[in-house]
Amino acid sequence: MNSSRPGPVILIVATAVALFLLMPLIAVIPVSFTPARFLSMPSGTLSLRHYQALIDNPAWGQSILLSLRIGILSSAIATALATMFGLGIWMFQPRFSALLIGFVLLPLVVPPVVSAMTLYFP
Amino acid sequence: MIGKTITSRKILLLAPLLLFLGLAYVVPFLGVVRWSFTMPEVGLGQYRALMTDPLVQSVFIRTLRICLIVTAAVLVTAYAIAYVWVRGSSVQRMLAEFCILVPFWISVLTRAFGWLAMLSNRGLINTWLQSAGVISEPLALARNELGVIIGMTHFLIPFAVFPIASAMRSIDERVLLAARGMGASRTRIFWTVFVPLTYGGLIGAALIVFVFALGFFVTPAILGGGRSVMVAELVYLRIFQSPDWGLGAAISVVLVLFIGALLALMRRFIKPAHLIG
Amino acid sequence: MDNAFQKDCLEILASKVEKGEISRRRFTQMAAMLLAGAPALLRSTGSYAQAKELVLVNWGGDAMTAYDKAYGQPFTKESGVTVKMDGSGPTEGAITAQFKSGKPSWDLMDIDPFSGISLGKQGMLEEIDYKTVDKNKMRPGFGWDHAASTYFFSYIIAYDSSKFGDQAPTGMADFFDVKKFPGKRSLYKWGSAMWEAALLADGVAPEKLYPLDLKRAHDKIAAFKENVVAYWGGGAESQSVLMDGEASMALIWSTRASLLEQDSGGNIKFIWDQGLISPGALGVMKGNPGGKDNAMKFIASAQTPERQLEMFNMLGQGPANPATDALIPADKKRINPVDPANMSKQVPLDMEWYAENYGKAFDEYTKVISA
Repeated sequence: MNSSRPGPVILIVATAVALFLLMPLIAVIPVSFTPARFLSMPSGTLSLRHYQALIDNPAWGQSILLSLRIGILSSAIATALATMFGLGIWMFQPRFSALLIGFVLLPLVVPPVVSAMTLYFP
Repeated sequence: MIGKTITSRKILLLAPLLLFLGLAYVVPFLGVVRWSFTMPEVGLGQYRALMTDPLVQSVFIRTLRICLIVTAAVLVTAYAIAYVWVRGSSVQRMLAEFCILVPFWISVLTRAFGWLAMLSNRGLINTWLQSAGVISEPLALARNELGVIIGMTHFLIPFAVFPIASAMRSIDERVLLAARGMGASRTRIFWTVFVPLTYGGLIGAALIVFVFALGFFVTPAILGGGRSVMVAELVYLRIFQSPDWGLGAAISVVLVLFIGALLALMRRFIKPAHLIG
Repeated sequence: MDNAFQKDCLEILASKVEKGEISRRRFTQMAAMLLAGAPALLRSTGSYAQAKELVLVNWGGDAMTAYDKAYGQPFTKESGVTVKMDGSGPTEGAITAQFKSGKPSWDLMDIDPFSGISLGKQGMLEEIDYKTVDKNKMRPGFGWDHAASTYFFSYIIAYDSSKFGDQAPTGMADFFDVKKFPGKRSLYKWGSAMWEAALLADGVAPEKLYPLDLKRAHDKIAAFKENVVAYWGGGAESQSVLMDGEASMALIWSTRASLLEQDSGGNIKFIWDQGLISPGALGVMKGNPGGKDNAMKFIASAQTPERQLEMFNMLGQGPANPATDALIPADKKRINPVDPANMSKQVPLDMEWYAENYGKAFDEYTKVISA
């Protein structure tokens, strides 16, 4: 393993990438404590008003619950269907398994907006 | 008798997902394909419009350009962090994993707004640079194509890290040792042995990143300042805003065909496992 | 096109109801707008109108509360017809889908009048029955065959007064003059009113605007492009562009301009001069399940000044019935886009022109701003 531990160059690059990955999250956290009504960096004072609103306004609770419900339901269905399919492929190695796998991965590569249109209209 | 049971079991296991996708996905998509030939009138009119409409063309070209730049940026950055994730010390590996997974779990919307807070005129970066005296006027980092590229690159890095890391993990350690034994320098081993052995993962990563980037919608809309219209947004406009379903459908069909052709072309280079890591 | 405006009013209402969450609202609004595809499945759970029931479709969320409180409940009380609010967003695409399904479940829709005109021409909307709906309770020129005027908003100049010393812009010519008024600008992503603004700045007289000289307008906008920092697509975005100091001047909705004035402690000001007035309307689905008569009666009941006042208080929209103007308290008259003092300074958008030309013009505009 130690035959190719990351050298200094790649470590520097990787550190930069790691910071890049964390950057917007670093920005989001202070913004959530802004005392202003609008999206802004807090200057001086911090406020929990937006967290307060999150608790006080039932609409947020409701939409979080709805998200959870949909999330749980759809992941349960997806996992069940995919597990069965995966088992089927693994156990029987059907003749066109590559084709079948390609087919079920379709929704992954089709742009979401096309999927949305497909599901919404016809 | 036995053969029959196997067939019926096989169908029982494979059919539900195939059926579900067929009914919920393929059939409606055929409907979209039909629109592209029938709306507003029967014929190839929408495809002809698509070929000649300068707006559609400029959007396609811009989309391709942005996708290529983003793919290149993602590959380089993802490779570096994947390397540390796979071959670093245990602390380095943990840190790398944290930095890869945490953004991966956060919604695209939150990340786009995070970037806006970071890159806008009174955002963190400009504020820091100004207070450090590096610049006097804020840099235009967001609300333009640069902002879109930064946001998309950020979103797509994890998707590239998984296939690249999986290719790195499958490298036979003895090959590297052999190269070392023959006196190759670390740099030489990296470029002539290690990197070529990960080409499969790199191609898979490039493909998945490029294909995902083609469908991007939220990030360009938030970080592009209303300007950088990409093809997904164009479809959205045609379908929901100015109902021109025929053209929207035709663009979608072309997009899906393009992605299909790309995947078919690259088929021999990729294993499905490399696509999803 | 926009619909964005109608959506935006939800935000404003929300911020009034529970001061202090534009930024979070912005997330949801953008979410709703941008991910409109994703929750598509959820939307199909729309209400189905029964007999003695009307379904009014608007832009969701808290506007449902506003419409319900100002118009729905009083109507139910006097007529016995329940009014259900459906917030799924009557885009032209969605209305077309409803109509083509052959069994529409919608009765009334909050639409842009020019959408009403063009959907009406395609036979998807009922004609407004002006025997039931009183044209005298509308401002002259704002009743269409297939859409009844219900409110107004304006596209006006808002500016960061800290950037201009004691100078203040007086019209579109100043908006397009970065020498006199330095700094970046922000325009509307969906084009409406931007053509008019460019032509006014170019010296076209207000009464000679229509039919719009698009070529001239686009040339003006194209030449001005490098001064535009962002093309805002929704009200919250327009607000943050000014608030963040990214633009020193922007053409934004009047409802947002008065909020900005508050949020910035008076630093950001707005003017009505050469503002562009845009009407909003209700349309009735052809063959609507709740019956044409009831739908018309509902529209007529929404002409009551007191009910329109309620909407002005909640959303800041200008009332459609001129009789409402007098009910607005003196200190609020200033923010009413159709108050006689404000209206005389502005130019109304020509909905007939938009019905005919918006699609093509918007395509061209997109091309110009994205090039």
